[in-house]
Amino acid sequence: MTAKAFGYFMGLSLSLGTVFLLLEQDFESWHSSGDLNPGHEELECRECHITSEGTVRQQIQANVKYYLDQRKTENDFVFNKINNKHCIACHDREDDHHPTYRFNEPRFKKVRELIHPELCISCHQEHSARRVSQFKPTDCKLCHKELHIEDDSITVPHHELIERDDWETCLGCHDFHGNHEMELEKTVGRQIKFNKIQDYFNSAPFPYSGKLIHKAKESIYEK
Amino acid sequence: MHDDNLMLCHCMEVTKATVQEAIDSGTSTFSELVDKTKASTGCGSCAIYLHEMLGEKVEWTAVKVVKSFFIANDVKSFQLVASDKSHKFPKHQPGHYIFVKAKIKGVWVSRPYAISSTREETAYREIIVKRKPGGQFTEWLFNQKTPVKLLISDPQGSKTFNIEDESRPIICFTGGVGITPVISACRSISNEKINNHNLHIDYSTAEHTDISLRTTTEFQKITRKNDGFSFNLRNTDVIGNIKFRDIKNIALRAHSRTLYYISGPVQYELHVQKGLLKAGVKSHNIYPLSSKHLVDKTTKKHNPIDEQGKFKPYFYVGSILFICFLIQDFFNLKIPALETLQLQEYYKRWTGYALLAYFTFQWSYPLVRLARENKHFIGYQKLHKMWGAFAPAVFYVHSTHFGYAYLSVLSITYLVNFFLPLCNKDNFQSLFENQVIYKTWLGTHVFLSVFVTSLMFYHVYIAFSYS
Repeated sequence: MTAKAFGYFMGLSLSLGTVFLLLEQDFESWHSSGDLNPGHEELECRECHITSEGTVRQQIQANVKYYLDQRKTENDFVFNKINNKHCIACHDREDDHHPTYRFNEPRFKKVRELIHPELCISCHQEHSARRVSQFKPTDCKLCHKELHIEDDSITVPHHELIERDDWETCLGCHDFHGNHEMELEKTVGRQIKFNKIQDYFNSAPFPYSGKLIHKAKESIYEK
Repeated sequence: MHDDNLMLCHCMEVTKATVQEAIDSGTSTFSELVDKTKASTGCGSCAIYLHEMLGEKVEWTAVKVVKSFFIANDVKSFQLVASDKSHKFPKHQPGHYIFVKAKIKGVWVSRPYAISSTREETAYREIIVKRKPGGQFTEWLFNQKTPVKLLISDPQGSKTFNIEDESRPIICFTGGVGITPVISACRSISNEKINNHNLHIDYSTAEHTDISLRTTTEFQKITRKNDGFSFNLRNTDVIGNIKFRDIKNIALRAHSRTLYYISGPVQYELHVQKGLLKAGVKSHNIYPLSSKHLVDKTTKKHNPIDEQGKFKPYFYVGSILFICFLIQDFFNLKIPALETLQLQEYYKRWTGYALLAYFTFQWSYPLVRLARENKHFIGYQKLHKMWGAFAPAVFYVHSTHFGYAYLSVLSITYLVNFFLPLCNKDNFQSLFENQVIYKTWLGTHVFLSVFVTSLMFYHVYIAFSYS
């Protein structure tokens, strides 16, 4: 056997072995594109990646038809595409301060085009090992720059903070989704500093209290 | 020529399969192929097939012999003119040879002959042919009456005389019929009046026949006309073969920048090469026209990279790109705009397709080799090497990271499979003289290529599955 033939033989053998091994359920975590986000570490891949309808052959056939304009909808290939429903299945609650559906209102059209706040994954990209993968303090400005509060009770009124373009202070007092037990700070300067918030976005514990108002389900199958 | 077991070289009993195997293992020049397989070291009639298998294009021109005369009992000079009178032969370099092809008893037979006319001569080609008793081609050629119709190829061969550089004197050691290209070199220098050119010819011949007398007369005439020319005739019947001390005496008197050309039977060429190396002449100044190029052991020891001590340009390109890729990842020197772009589905998809197309192109080279279509494969090989050097850049456009889980295995294998072939025999010649190293290198490159390709297709499947 020549060196080349040996190379082809070994290459094909190892490739087949590796592919078959990776397709085994025990090795599905090898398909991950990165570490899971804080709180999700114990989740199985199949909690979010749910097998799509039909066999692979049928899925390919349906998608070919879709591209040939013989079908109206695309069919997800192997696993369903991730969307808000997958997140809401565990994280849904009634008093969310910024629920995604709110951003579907017509007045948020421009904001939707800019940062897509109507999608969970715009801020919470999975497999990034962070709580919040994408956020800039000036994102608040996109909706709140016209804010006017009568009888403003904080030491530096909100409109003055807006005039100063000081958007880093927002999250120091206001929890975006409002799921943490906390008292509103009224003295500007004593709010949580933005670097602490950023640490929390990365993976540090919440800087006020560890108490959550609503606890997310531990599995999509939990009732 | 479709059967691999076909006997290609009847003199040395070499089959087509043996020659093909040598080509597959990386032999890319005619002289290397001859050296490795011994094919074409007998009568030389199979040389044309070796050239064709190496993918070297052979253009044929119809010619007729307009003049021929004996210059010895069994040696004849032939002047060949194109049948199409308007045809101008391309200029050649002394040392080039042509294939002469004739239909003998219904079968095409071809033989290689060195050109002896001057390199500027475009109206005719001159060759000197020695009759081989019982030889199919020479017996036929000698018995034909002019005008004999033949086909000749364009000039062939890579071992030619460098007569352009006047600052480098030339010493030619020549023996027997090997004098032919030396005649061409000598006539060319003299005719073109290349000023101040120093040329010394040391001619060994077994019989003091007409050939040496004619040549001596011509050389002496040229020597009288040109101050820098000198000529020494060595009658080996009387004084024996040239000795190492004779070679040393010549080399000791020579300028350090002298170029040494050796033309003659293989044993003669090897003997003179050894003598020159023994006398301290550097191997890169020695040019044997038909035998293996011997390398000075001391030079080899001190310079393991290659004779010139230079890497190929693609080695530099590849290494710089590779180092840049490693640095940007190690020190996290990322371009924010590119990082954002690489998160976009459409960007990932299209750069992935580009990467796949790039890798598929790299596969076209081994596929051409596998199909045993060797024509132009040398050109393909160069493209394969040059394109291969850009692997880190193509990868960087798709992803600036090594990735996670199976993707890190894919990325690392991809980059190892890029760097390993960069360290090939072009750049580490002496290391690859060891056949075990060469075969291990080749086997590993093939193995990694197959593995990376499989993982790439698997990656496409996974990328679509987990969108």
